[in-house]
Amino acid sequence: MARDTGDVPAAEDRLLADTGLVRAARYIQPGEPSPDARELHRQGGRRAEEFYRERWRHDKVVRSTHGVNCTGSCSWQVYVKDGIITWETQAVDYPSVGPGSPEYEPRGCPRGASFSWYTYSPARVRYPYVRGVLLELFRAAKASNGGDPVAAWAEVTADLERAATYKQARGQGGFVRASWAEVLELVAAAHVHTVAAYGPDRTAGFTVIPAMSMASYAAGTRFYSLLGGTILSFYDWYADLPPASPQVFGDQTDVPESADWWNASYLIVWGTNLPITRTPDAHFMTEARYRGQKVVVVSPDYSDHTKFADDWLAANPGTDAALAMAMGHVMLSEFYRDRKVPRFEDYARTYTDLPFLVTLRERDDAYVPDHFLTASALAHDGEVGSADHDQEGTAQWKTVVLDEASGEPVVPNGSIGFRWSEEGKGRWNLDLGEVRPALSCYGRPGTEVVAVDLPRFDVGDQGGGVLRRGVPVLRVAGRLVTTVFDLVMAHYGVGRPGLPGDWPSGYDDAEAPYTPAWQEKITSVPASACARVAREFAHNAEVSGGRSMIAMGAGTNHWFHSDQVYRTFLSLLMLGGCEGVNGGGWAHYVGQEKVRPLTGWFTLAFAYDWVRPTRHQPATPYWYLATDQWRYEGTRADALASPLGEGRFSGKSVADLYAYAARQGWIASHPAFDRNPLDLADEAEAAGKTVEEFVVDELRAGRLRFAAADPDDPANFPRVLTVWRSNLLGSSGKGHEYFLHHLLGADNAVAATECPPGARPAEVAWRDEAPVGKLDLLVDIDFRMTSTGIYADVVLPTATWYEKHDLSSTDMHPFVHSFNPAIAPPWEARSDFDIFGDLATECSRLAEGHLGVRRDLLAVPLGHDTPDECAQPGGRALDWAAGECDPVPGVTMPRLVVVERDYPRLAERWRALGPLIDEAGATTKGVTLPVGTEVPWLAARNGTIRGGIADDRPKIDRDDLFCEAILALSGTTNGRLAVAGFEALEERTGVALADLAHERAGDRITFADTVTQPRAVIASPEWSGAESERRRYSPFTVNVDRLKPWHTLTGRQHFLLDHDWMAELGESLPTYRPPLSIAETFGDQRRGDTERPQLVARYLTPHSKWSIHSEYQDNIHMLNLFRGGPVIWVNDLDAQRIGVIDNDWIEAYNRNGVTVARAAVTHRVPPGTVLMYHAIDRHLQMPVSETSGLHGGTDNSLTRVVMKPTHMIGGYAQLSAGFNYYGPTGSQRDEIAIIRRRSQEVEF
Amino acid sequence: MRPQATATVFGCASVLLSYPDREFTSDLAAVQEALERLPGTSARSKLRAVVEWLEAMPVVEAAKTYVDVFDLSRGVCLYLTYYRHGDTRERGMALTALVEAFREAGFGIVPGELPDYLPALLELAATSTAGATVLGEHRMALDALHGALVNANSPYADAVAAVQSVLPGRSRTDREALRRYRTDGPPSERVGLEPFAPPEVLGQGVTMGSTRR
Repeated sequence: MARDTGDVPAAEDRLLADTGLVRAARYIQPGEPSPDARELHRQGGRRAEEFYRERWRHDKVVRSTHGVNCTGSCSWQVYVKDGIITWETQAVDYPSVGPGSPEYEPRGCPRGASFSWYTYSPARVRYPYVRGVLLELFRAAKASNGGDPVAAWAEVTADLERAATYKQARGQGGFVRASWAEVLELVAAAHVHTVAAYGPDRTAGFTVIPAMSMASYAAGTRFYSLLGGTILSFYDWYADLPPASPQVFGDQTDVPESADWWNASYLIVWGTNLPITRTPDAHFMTEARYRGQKVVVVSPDYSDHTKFADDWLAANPGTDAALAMAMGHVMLSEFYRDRKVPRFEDYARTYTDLPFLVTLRERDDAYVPDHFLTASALAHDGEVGSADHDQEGTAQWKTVVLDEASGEPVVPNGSIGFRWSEEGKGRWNLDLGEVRPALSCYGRPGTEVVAVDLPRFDVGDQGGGVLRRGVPVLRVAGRLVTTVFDLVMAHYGVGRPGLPGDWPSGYDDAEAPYTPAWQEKITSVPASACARVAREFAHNAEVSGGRSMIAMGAGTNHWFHSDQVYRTFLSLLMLGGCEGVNGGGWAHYVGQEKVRPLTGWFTLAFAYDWVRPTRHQPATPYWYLATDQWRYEGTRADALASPLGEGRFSGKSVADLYAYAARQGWIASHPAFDRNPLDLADEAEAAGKTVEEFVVDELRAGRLRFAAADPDDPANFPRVLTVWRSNLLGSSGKGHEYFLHHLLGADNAVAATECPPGARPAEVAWRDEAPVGKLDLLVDIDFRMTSTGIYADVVLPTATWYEKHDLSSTDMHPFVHSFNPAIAPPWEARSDFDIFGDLATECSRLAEGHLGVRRDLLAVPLGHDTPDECAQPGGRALDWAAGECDPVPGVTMPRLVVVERDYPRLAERWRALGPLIDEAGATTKGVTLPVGTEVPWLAARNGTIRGGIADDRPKIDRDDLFCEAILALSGTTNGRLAVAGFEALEERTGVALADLAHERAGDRITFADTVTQPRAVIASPEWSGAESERRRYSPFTVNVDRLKPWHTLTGRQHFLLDHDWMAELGESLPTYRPPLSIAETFGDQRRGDTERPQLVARYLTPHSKWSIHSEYQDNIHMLNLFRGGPVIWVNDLDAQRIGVIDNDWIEAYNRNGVTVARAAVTHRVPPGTVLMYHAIDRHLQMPVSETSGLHGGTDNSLTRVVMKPTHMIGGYAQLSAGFNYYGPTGSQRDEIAIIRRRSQEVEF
Repeated sequence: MRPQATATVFGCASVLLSYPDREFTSDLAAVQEALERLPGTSARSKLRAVVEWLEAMPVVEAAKTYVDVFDLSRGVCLYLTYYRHGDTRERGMALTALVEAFREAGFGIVPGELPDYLPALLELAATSTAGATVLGEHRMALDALHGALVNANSPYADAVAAVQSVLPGRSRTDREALRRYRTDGPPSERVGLEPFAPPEVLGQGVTMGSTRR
């Protein structure tokens, strides 16, 4: 220790040294180190006064934002003094959105404003942790294996008894700190061993919502992509993904920025609580009201947004589709039948599937809708669609309309048959030319009338009943056809003279679907209010040119049948000609996000610059199988089938359907086979066969099976899971207790019983003993100890959002801006980016000798926005396993792709921009951006790698350099690529597009720009809306303005979905389905002393005002604003009935688990419904339950995954696989909870 | 107690309140040796009790115990400004004041560690009388920490008690602050909340931009 030059007496500064403590002065050092720690400055003098003089002078102000879940994407200024964050304020330098509109600045909310406490909180995760019992096992095994960590991991996990000791300790504390070197070695060893022993697809990574910290997301997924790991989706798993978006638009969640709310003149807020969940944007709504906008709120409870309503329609929970169907009934009656609105009809003809012809099929003594008529049916020799003309086989992908003038069938441009074929070049557009499609067959010459049977679900059990209504039909090419419009009219119950069947007698006919009086019985919304709002909504759309908007969200989307709910909403918007219009259309705000620089991010995040494709996996079926929730399934697949179905699902379980969908190539299913895919590739080679031949032969011989058909085979277990930037167990884990039980092997409160023999899957293998503790290693990377952390084996401390470089963008505003480190990550924290970089290095090191260069066989589902979306024509569900067709990879099976894995050089690849991008470009939604000058530009800007496999390639080994590459390789942030991408799209569509980006062709948003100021993005083919300084972003404006098709079967927005499975479920058309009847399916779930009053209630889990997005339930600032701790909202009359008064401790439970909370008693929640905010961590202020005897529970202790079969459809146009695009959602609103008062003495 | 002896108490407590890593066994031996040279005060017996307790368990058990007691918890933490300022914005200023105090004493804190970390403050106090003064200013926090450790039945309480025993007595302000902490816990941020409740709900003397106390 050196002497200070100042006032400190010499004798004293040696006191410590003189004590003889050998490691004295571990934490302090004399003098003041320079930031790079190379120099030590020491000066004397009195500076105490200076401190107080300078206390408001900050050393620096750094721009950053709050990451992961919050779609606010608000820019903040962080003030730093002496290396300590002392202050933060909202940034106010957003670019202007131009005159005539409110501005974006300032943005922020109380949750973001209180974020920074995490930085120095005593509760922060500051060191790497490993559970002590595991670390000791690993150290001992390493010692006994000659210091080989991979062999050590193999030994620890192979011995099931030994492994059980650390698995059972999950959730029980017992962590010790470990050095980074040791912990990374352990984690890497687990990965290397798992890849070698079981296959790379038995490792998995789960992280969420990339837009609000793109590099942090991508660092891990890039690692897993190079490793061959399974990358889990999040949007569908959260149930935030609206399946209706792909169903109707062929696009997932493209929504207006919030400034476009200002352009709406009629706004229905339907299931999204704008002031709470869109806090920084809500001002646009309040301001628009001063401009004359009418706001209608549909919400069962008197929530915060209800206060803004001019009209409040308090529809019962889960009945929104009934209200929307009745509104559709009114719109069709008054605006399509009684009076014709030219704008509506033109819009319907051009931009929707309403004029397209549908064949009818005889069923019993009537007809049912069958499939779209395609050009192949019109085939005559030498004509379009005939065999000699249709060499590319596209005729069956070209849909048909009727020309109004000639009455002849016409094949218009724009359907998917024009999208991928050579002859479709320049014709994939919505230009109808001289053709004016007839909307209806009604009243046309030659029209006949037939009765059509349509399903209804407002009666009977979940399968519903049948409505018989007439439609006008024509014969075309020998087939009986009608238009989608005519089916829609019949379905909605809008009668026209001369059509047979049961029609409503009027709006006041309460018995006939879908009248206003009919919906009143279901929703409790007065019929007159329903009709009035529908009329106003449509009238506004008529006079304003489509500026009617519906903002929708979790309240209507978290339901099992959310796709139907949303389709009924979207139908109103399509009928009003509102989509693709500024100020109009859908505005979906739950879990929505927008990685504006999409192409660059996607390419880097999934390492498409080195290897394509990657193992994208929908998380819902993954967890459904991995956590064995399928073993408890009570909802049979056929219970939901339409009475008009063909029995396709009879005798099958939902797990059977997934196994089918996986082998048919509809949906991803990783791991794919019950064998290591590295070995499969080798075995094919050894057998002298192509992988296609080999796999098909093995499958046929029964030697190889799909893993989805036997999820409890130890060969198919997920073995290693890394969770970062998310809280799987405390936030999104539907079926939380099943996770604890089967995946982790920890204590749990599952009370359900497994399926009895008759109710088990027909095809999926049932093993008598359910596995417990499938997972060998759970790694959690976070800066807070969440429910995931407490169950993890390894917890790694990560940088907060003020300690790293990253990028943020959102759909709420048009800017991209940056995260920047105000301070270096304190303690031993490292950024996600650096952690994965280090892990990649460690894996590469350990791969030497355990894994060399290997070939990996991927089973890739038939992807949306690729030619594979035209694999299975007619939407027919055939089964090769049943001999209905041949197993052909890429057609009736997943595509089989072999890629090279260079494990010892994985880290080198991770750190450099790979060469594949030079040849193959970078593709988004079927548009390839020709990457060219960007690579040398990046090489010059970022520098290049010297030597090794990536010699001379641009560096992306630092978070800021990585962000630079994202920006350089995306159209939204690189004008050259935007123009080039539009030009590529022009070639396909034959319509002008590139001019949309011309004004910014030379613009390049660099990372430095985003540090300086949030920057407005460039219009790009990556998104469907035009945007500029003069125009707010609204989706599909390019489709409407420029006649660019939607990415659907017809190229138009769809009312009708003609896939076999849609028809089987009775959901070919938008319809009302009530919530799942959990009570009937699972019976009485009350427990214990039934004399004690228990309340059976609908259990809703909305977003919390105090703990969501940038915060969890551990934020004392937010908890202070309410009661803190877990709360369940209960209606006052319900509470009285079970003897509960406000703030009493209560327990909520059902077959899935138990949770404890205080009751918040209020009349604002309707009777029969209780609310518990989601993302409750089970260890925060959660007492021991008297029902389970275990510590706490979470909101998800009561939920469980239920998968909807139609969400697994694939291989058929817009109903094809895509990551976070289409897949079963983890819905959670259909559940019921039993509530009872508990002992008021609680123990924590 | 002579300065040398006081410094030994601070130095030993700093080691004992540090994470028991792989070198911990030799650290304990060094502490033992240092304690030999101390006069037979209550500080010495308390520190010796902690040493004996820690020596009796395997290092990995000591590590688990340490993590369970000190890491990840707000109620028992070694970051002293937390007790007085909680997660309010005033904590940032208190931390920068400590950075300045370290600088005044001729030292800097190692990168990545906060200056209010008790083992670091103990080192500072062991090194200079100015450091001991700085530590003394956090008397209330030490008392609160000691109380929390006693409540948790943790033998670590003795290490803190040893430090307490060699510091000057509590001021009235310290006693008042401790009383408030024991009833209310650390303060919470109230900025911006003034309009929403009358002063009797929010506490005394609330002005714009201040915390509850």
